[in-house]
Amino acid sequence: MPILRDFSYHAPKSLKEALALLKRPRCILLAGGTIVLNTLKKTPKGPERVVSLRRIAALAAAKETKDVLSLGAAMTISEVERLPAVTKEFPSLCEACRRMATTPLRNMATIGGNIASRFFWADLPAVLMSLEARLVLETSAGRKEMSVDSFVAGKTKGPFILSAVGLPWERRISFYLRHTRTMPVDIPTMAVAFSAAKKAGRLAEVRFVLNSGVAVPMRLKKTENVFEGCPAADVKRAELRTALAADTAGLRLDDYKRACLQNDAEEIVVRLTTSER
Amino acid sequence: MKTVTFTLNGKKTTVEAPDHELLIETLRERLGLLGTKPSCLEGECGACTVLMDGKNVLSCLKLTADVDGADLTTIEGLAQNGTLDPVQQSFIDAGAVQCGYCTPGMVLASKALLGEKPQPTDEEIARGLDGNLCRCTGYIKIIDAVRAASLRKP
Repeated sequence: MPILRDFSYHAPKSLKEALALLKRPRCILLAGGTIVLNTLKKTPKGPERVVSLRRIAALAAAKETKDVLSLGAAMTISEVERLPAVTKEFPSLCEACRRMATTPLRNMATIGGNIASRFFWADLPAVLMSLEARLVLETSAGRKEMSVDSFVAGKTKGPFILSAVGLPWERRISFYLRHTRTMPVDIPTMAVAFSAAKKAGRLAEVRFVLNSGVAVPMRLKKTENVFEGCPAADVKRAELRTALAADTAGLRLDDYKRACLQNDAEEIVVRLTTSER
Repeated sequence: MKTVTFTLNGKKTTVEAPDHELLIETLRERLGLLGTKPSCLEGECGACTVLMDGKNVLSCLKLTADVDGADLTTIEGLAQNGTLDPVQQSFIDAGAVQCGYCTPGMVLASKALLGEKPQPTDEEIARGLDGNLCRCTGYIKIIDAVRAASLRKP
């Protein structure tokens, strides 16, 4: 007996062709397949059409411009992890890709799928939010850009194809720390993504994003303010503890997660201080 | 139905398969390659591992229609002219096989790892095999086998 229910498979070679297919009813997009195909195995009524993005060459490559590193949405997690520009300039993204899931899943899953599937407890949404990434969405009305923050907040309308993820170069300092329940390959139960630019020796445009393993990642803005404008060595730990407590006051975090968060924030201070020496 | 053409174990292969057929079904049921093992069927265990363009991927999470044009290797494609691949021979020599069900996936994942890192550390071996579960051996002998394979001449 077949594992999946019947559907028709389409492999368009252009975004235009894919968008035309997407207008038809009961149609879903397929990238790496690690989420979509598993979901279809458990769905009583599947789609009529599956549109694979594999043949669209424009989605598979990275491009560098003066302002942005643009990652094609169909690049696999392994490809992103090994991209020299990611390794060198975006260590938090490299770390998230390196630690995510297992080797074969990283060889199959795509950066676009990890975002567009809207499982925001996954590793990448928090990291990309911290890096102020911009998502490029193709729709039948044209191309538009959106911040990851807006995407996570559900501000997309109508069918779209996520074609690229743009990372601004100026966020040179970034860290990603994650905790799992048992095995390193498990999904994160809690993670922190931090990034900042450095201006005149001081931290600027700080983003401190918490993925608490539930709902959506969120910025801890009082905590960000503790870092903002400081030379890294001057970040006050007492202020940091107070800000973290205030930022997370309404969240359902157990004592263990709160302790992890506190430790992660202090670890970030240590790493910032060490990198300054 | 889709007509799908790919290179399978070095030979150009064309199959007719329903659009919704998974690669593991095509390999086992249409092409008779039973070394690719079904187990969890949700990408957790690695028993159904095949190499696609040199990388280890899971055939339970690939549509056959989606591998058109790819270069695929299953466990049946490793031995050449009756001689086992160095990875296969190392698994035997190290006693890295008990029930054997995970072994094809383990061997192919090891092959992919050694293709990328010919001299991996033990940590790199463990990471390279993180998608393959074995419930018999406790992994020590598997890691020994991959380390030994990295020292063998092909």
